[in-house]
Amino acid sequence: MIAEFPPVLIFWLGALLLPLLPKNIRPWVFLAFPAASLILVLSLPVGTSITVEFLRFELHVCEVTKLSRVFGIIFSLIGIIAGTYALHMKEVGQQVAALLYGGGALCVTFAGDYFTLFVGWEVMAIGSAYLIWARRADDSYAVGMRYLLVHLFGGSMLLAGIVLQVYTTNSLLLQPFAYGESLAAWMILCGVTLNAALPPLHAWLADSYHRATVTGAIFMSALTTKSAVYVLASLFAGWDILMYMGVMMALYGVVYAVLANDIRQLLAYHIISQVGYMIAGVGIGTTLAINGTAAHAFSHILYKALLFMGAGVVLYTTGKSKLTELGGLYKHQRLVYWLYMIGAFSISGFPLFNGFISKSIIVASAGESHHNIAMLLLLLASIGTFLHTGLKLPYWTWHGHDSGIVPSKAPKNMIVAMGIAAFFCTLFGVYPDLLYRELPFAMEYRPYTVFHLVETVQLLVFTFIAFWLYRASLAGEPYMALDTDWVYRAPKAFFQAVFVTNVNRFFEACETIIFRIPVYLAKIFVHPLQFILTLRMPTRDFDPDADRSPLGVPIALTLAITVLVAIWNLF
Amino acid sequence: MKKVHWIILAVITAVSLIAQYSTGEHHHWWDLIPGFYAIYGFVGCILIVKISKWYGKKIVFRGEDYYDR
Repeated sequence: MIAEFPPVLIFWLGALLLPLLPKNIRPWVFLAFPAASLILVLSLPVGTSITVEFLRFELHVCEVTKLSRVFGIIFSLIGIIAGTYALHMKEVGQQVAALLYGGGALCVTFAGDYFTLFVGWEVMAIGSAYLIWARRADDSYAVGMRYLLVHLFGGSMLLAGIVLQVYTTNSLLLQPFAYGESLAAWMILCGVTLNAALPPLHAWLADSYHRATVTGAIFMSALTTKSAVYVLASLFAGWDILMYMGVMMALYGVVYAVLANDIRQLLAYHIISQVGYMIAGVGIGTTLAINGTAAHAFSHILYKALLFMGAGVVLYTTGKSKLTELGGLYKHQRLVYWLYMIGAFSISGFPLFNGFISKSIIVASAGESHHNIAMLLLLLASIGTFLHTGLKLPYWTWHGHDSGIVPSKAPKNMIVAMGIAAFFCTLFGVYPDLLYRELPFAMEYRPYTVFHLVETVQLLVFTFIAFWLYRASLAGEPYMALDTDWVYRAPKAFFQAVFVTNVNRFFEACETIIFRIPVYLAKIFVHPLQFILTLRMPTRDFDPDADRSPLGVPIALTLAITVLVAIWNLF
Repeated sequence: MKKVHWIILAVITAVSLIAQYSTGEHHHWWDLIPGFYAIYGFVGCILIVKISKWYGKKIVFRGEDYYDR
């Protein structure tokens, strides 16, 4: 039995220690923290509750439930995989940011109260924003600032909801909300769904993930949205609106993935699409659906990290990430291609891979709850998933026309990390019970039935045939597709004018006036008497000999008054 | 795509149709339509491509420097 303490502390301790270590061993030591965290999470029994006194509140900093345990395991595991992928990267800023970020996700996952949740939430925003800035491209500063501001906006909504909730219920503890229970619940929902990238609050994701560093994007693809999914599953299970929004989200990501030209942005839109399944699962809210959400988050983190790692290798070795600039890399990158394809088979729900055993739980739960249209639309979204991630992206990156690019050699650790992720994608696909037994609720569900295999095989084969016929029209196009971030990006000039330029002008004008006043006064005080008498600017300096009035007059006046007062007193 | 690949796909489809017929399992009315998921996959895929491309070309496509101008 290992001592009981919150896993987040291991990550944050790492963030403190790492900068003190020599550069060359740092990436290796980095791995120790998520590994230790994984061991700790696995050893903490369900039901563990660690409380800390803080001011007059009792904080539940670590509540281990079956649901939080699943997320805790995968967040730690992905830390090891992403750390392996980043072994060649010696930059301490990114390493520390990644540990803070991963810790934030674990803090949120095991939080039993709103205060702990909020602390983890904000640390995640800051840690991840650094991973965008660290790219140091021309636009990195602006992208990171947009990302951070949007998340601080979401954090503010969350905080406002928390304050209202604590004020009305007088309790900091996280308790599931009944549908539409209170204004506080809606505000917390808005704050959380922003991090879950639920349209229309999703644009930060598609704006930033493809602009993060090659290694940082792996952490980002795993942590922010899935920690929000965890919070939704634990607080908002059964909220009908989330099912409709989730289905819409699954399709929204698919449509935009058709339009994306940057391979990492295409994958980012598919995060939105996949998280749509999870949110739909939360909205359906049955035990099967919540199991599906947890299982799919677990699978998704593995295969999405694998896909991002594949795209990251392409970017790292060619310096390019746009479909219009890529093509024909297969002969140079066979291994990377096949490892990527394992991720693609997984996300597309091929039998024997982990997407097959998790996505289907959510789809089945929709069918079981008689949400037939939702079920068919989720299947439609999965067609789109295979179409883009499994066909369009690999076809136009590694096959298609030959771009003539000769990629440099990828560091071995990147390939090894992809291998580890691919191993787990396959492992859980072949032995789904390894994952199923960790799920929050007991279930009868079996993925490998003849019926389910028939359904999947037919969908996949005919999606492929349709793709083959239309592959030419799925080549990348050198355009950018407007998304909801237009709302805050397009009026930039207007806001800049109103809130920056004009405000600056006003202050400049005030400053000029303030500086002019002493100059003016100084001019007056060279000869105040002349100014008072003529009300014009003095024409010369005060001259005591010429301007001072004779002393006789005031002396005579004083004497006269003294005499008058004296006489008055006599009578 | 070589001829052999198409033959493999045809065989897989045939097997799936036989399996669908032989299990007789159905949860929804559409499960009884032979090859429903094949049709759905094919039509769905084309719809996704066509609708998305239309949406892109008519409404949301802009130059890559749209926000930098």
